[in-house]
Amino acid sequence: MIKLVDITKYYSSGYVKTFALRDINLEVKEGEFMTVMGPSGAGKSTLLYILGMLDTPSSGEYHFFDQKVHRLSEKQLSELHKNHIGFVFQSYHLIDDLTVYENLETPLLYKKVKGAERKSKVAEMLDRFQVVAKKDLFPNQLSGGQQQKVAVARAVITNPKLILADEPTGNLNTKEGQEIMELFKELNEEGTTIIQVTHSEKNASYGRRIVNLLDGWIVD
Amino acid sequence: MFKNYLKIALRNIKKYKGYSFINMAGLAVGMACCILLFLWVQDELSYDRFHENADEIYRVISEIHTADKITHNARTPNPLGPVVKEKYPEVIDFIRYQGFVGWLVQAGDKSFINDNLGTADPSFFEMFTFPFLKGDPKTALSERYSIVISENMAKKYFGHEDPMGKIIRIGKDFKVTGVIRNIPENSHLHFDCIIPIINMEYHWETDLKDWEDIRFYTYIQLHKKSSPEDVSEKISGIIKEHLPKSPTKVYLQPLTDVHLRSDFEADLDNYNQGSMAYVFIFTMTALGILLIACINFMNLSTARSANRAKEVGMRKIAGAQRMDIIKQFLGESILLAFIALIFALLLVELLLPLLNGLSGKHLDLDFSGNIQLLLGLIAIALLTGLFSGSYPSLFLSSYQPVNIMKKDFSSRASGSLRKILVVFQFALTIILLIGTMVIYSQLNYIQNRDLGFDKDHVLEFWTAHADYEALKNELLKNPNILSIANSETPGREPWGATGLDWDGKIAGEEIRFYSTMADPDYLETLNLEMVEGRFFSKEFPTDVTQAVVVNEAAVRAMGMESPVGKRLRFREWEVTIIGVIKDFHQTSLHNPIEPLVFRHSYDFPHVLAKISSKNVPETLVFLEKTWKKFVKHYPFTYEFLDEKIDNFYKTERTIGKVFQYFTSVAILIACLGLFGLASFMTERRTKEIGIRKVLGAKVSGIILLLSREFTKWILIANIIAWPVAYLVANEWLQNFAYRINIGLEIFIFSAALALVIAILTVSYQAIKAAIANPVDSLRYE
Ligand SMILES: Nc1ncnc2c1ncn2[C@@H]1O[C@H](COP(=O)(O)OP(=O)(O)O)[C@@H](O)[C@H]1O
Ligand SMILES: [Mg+2]
Repeated sequence: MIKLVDITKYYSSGYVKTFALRDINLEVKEGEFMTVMGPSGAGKSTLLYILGMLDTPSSGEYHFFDQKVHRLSEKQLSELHKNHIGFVFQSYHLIDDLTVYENLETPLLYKKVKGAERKSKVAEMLDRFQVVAKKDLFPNQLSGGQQQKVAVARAVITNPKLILADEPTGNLNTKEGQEIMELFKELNEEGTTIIQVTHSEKNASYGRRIVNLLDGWIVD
Repeated sequence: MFKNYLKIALRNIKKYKGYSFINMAGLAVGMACCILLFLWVQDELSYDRFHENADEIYRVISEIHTADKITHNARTPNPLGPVVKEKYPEVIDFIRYQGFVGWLVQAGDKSFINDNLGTADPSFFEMFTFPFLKGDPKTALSERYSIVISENMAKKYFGHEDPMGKIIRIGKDFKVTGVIRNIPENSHLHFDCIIPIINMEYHWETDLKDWEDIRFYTYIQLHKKSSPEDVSEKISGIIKEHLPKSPTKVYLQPLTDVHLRSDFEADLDNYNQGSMAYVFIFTMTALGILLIACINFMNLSTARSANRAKEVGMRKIAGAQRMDIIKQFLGESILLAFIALIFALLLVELLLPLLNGLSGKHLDLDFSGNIQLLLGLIAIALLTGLFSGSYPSLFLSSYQPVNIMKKDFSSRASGSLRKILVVFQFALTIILLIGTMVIYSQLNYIQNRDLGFDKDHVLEFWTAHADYEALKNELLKNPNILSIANSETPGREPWGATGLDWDGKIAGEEIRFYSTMADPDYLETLNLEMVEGRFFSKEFPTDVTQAVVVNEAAVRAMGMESPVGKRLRFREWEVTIIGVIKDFHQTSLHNPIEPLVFRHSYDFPHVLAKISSKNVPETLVFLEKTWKKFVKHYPFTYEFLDEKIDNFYKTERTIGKVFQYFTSVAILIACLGLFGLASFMTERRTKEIGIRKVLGAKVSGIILLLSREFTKWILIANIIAWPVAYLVANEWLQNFAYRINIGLEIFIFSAALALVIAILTVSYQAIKAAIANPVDSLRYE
C-alpha cells in the first residue's frame, strides 16, 4: 500500500539545515496497525505529515498504491488525501465554531456527498462513537476524551483506507485513552490501515509492528 | 456547504462582536456615503435626458473672441434661429427661449408675482418633451395670446376648475390653451407658464429682427446624422454675414451638457446650475471613503486571521482545496458587506434630509422606479465584499496545515502589507483634510476681502414703475436712510458687450466691457473712490446723455494715457469720459475686475439704499410703508447687498460643508481601523510588554514604544498626501480670480491633527497594555 524510498526531509534556516528525516525506507501493507515511537524531536510527526500528504519530502519517493505521490501537484495531493486518509491529532483540532454534528459533516461536504446520505453517515458515526447526545454542542463544551472521539469519528467518516494518528491519547487520561485505542483496534479489524505515533508501550501493544525513530533515522 | 459557511460566518460575527462592529460600522458608513453620492451624481447626470429628442438638441452658445481671451455668452442674436433653420436643411427646428420672474400675473381676483414666466417660439413643445395633461402640444402656442401653464399653477389660480380657455393677465390677456405636468426638477428649463415669444416685442421692448439685440437662448434640433461642428461653423458664418464687426463665433452645446458644463455669461435662467468638476470630485471622494472602509476591513480581517488559521488547517485536512477556502472567506466578506449595506441604507434614510437640505434636491431611496439604484447597490456591496475580502482570503487560504499543526504559525508575514494599507488609508484621509481646510481658508478669504466698496447695510429694491424722485424724497425724510441711488447694484452677474470705440483705438482691437447704470448718489451710497476727474453730478445736466465714468480696468484695457476728456462711442451713443473710478469687485471673486463703463441712469427701475446700522427693523418697516404709498399691485421685496454677494459662493459653501462631513467620516473610519489594529498589535505584544515591565520599563516608556510605530506611519502618510492634495486644491482654486496661496501651515496643521487623532486612538490601547499587571500576561507561558 505504502512504499517510502530514501525519504529525506530537512528544514533550512539560513545556512543551517535541520534534518527531520533521513533516508527513510519503509513499506506498509494494507490492513496493518503500525506504531511509530521515538523521543521528542525524532521526526515522528514529520513522517506522519508526509505520509498524510500534508507535507512534502525534500527528496525520495513515496508510492501510495500505484500513485507516485512525490510527482503529484498540490491539488492532486489534496484530492488523494481527502479520499483515502483520515488524520487524528494529539490536540483534537476540531473547528471551534462548529458543533459536533457540523464538524462531522465538514469532510463530507468537501467530498460533495449528497444531503440524505450525509445525514445518515453523520447519524451512523454519532451512534457508533456514542456522542449522539452531544451533537449540538461545541467542542469546548466537551471533555478531552469526547473531543478526541469526535475527531476520530471525523477522520473515519469518509471511509479512508489509512488513518494517521499523532499521539492521539497524549492529552487524555488512562480511561479515555483506552477507549480511543479500542476504537482504533475495531477499525483495524474492519480493514482500515492505521499508523499511530505514541510514547506509551501499552498503546504500542495495540499495534502489530513498531518502527523506532531517532534523530530522523529508523533504528532497530 | 453554503449553510456550513454561513453558520461559521454568523458565529464569528457574534463571537468577535467588537471587531465585527468596527468592521461593519466602517463599511456601513463608507457605503452610506457612497450611496448618498450615487444618488446625487445620478440626479446630476440625469438633467434634461427626459426629452425624447435630447440627443439631437443643442444650445447655441456665443464665443466672443477679444484681444486676450474668449468669453462665452449663453445668448445669441435674436434673428439667428429662424435664419439658421431656413438656410440649413440639417437644422430640423429652432427654439428661442427666455424666462422671467417678478412679473405680475393675474387671473380673476388672484394675483402673484412669483411665477416663473417662460417665453418661446411656438413649436417649443415639439422640440422639448413636457407632457400635456390638457391641450395639444403642437398647437398650444400658435395663437399670439395663448398661454400654457403647469399643473401647480392651474391649481394655484383656478383651484379645481378647468383652466382651459380661462384668461390669465400678464400685461395683456392670455387664454389658457394647455396644462402640462409640473416640470421635473432635473430640467434646466423651469417655468410655471409659457407664452409665445412674439409677445416680447411688446412686453420686453425687444426687436426679434434686430441682430444687435441679444436676449434669448437659442436651441436647435439637428438631424441625427449631421455634425454639430459643421453646423456651428455655418452658423458662425451667418453671424459674420450679419454682424461683420462682431468677433463672435458659436459653439453648439449638447442639451445634456447644459446642466453640468455651462460656465457662460448671461446664463441667468439656468436653473440650479451644476458642475462636472464637482460631480467628478464627489465621485472620487465617495470611492475614496469606500476604499478607506474596505482597507479597514482587509486590515482587521487579516489581523484576526491568526484566530481562523486553525480552522483553515482543519478544513484543508478535512479535504478542502485552496479554492474552497478562498470561496468561503470571500463569501464571508460579501455577507458582511451585505449586512453592512442594510445598515448603510438605514443611515442613508437618516441622512438624506441632510443631503437634500444641502443640495436643494428631493432625492429619495426609491427602488421601484430606479433599477439603476438597485443594481448600483448590489454592485457596491458585491464589489466591496470582493475587494475587501480578497486579501484576507488569499492570505488565509495559503496556510499549510502542517505549519498550523506544528504551532509555529505566525501572522507576521502580512505585517508590511498591513502597514502599507494603513498608510494609504491615512493618506486619503489627510488629502480630504487638507481639501477641507483649503476650501475654508478660501471662503474665509473671500468673506474678508475688501471688495473696494461698502456692502454693509445697503439694500436694493425695485421701483415698480413708481415716480422715483417723489419716492426718494419721501424716503430720505427718515434720518436712518442715509442715501439713495437710482442705479444697478454691484454683485450682479457680469454681462458684457463688444463694439466699443474710443479715441486712439487701433482698428480691429476689441475689448469686452460691462456697462452699469448709476446716478450721482451712487458714489456715496457705496462709499466708492475716484482716482481722476469727477463722478456724475446734478450740477451738470448734460451728464445724463453725454458723460460716462470708467474704472481703472477699462482705462488699462483701452490703453489710455489720460482718459478724462476722451470720447467713447458705442452703437447710438457718443460720450465723454469725465472721470475714473477706483477698481472695485463688481462681481464675484471668481472673476477678475472687468472694464466697467458707468452711464448716467434715467428713470432706472432699481434703487440702492444705504441705511444706518441703528434701528434696522424700524427702517425696513418705514421703507415698506413708504414704498406701498407709491406702488399698488406689487408686494415690497428687497435684498441686502451683503447677502446677495454671499450668494455667489453658495456652491462653494455647500461643497465646503459636504467636504467637512466627508472628512469627518473618513477620519472616523480610519480611526476605527487604527483602533482595531492597535488593539490587535498590543495584544500580540502583551508578553513583550510584560517582560519589559518586569525588567523595569516605565509606563510612559511603553506607551511611547507602542505609539512610535503608528506615528511613523502617519508621517509617511502625510508625505504621500501632501503633493496630491496640493495639486487638487490648487486646481480647485483656479476657479477664483482672487485666491489664497496654499500655505505650509495648512499642511503642518493637517499633519498635526492627523497625528493627534491617531495617537489618541492608539494610546487608549497602549495605556491599557502598559498599566496591566505583567504577571497576568506571563503566567501562561
Ligand atoms: N517547520 C520547521 N522548521 C524547522 N525545523 C522543524 C520544523 N518542523 C520540525 N522541525 C524539526 O524537525 C525535527 C523533527 O520534528 P518532529 O517531526 O515534530 O518531531 P517529533 O514529532 O518526533 O517530536 C525537530 O528537530 C524539529 O525541530
Ligand atoms: Mg510530534
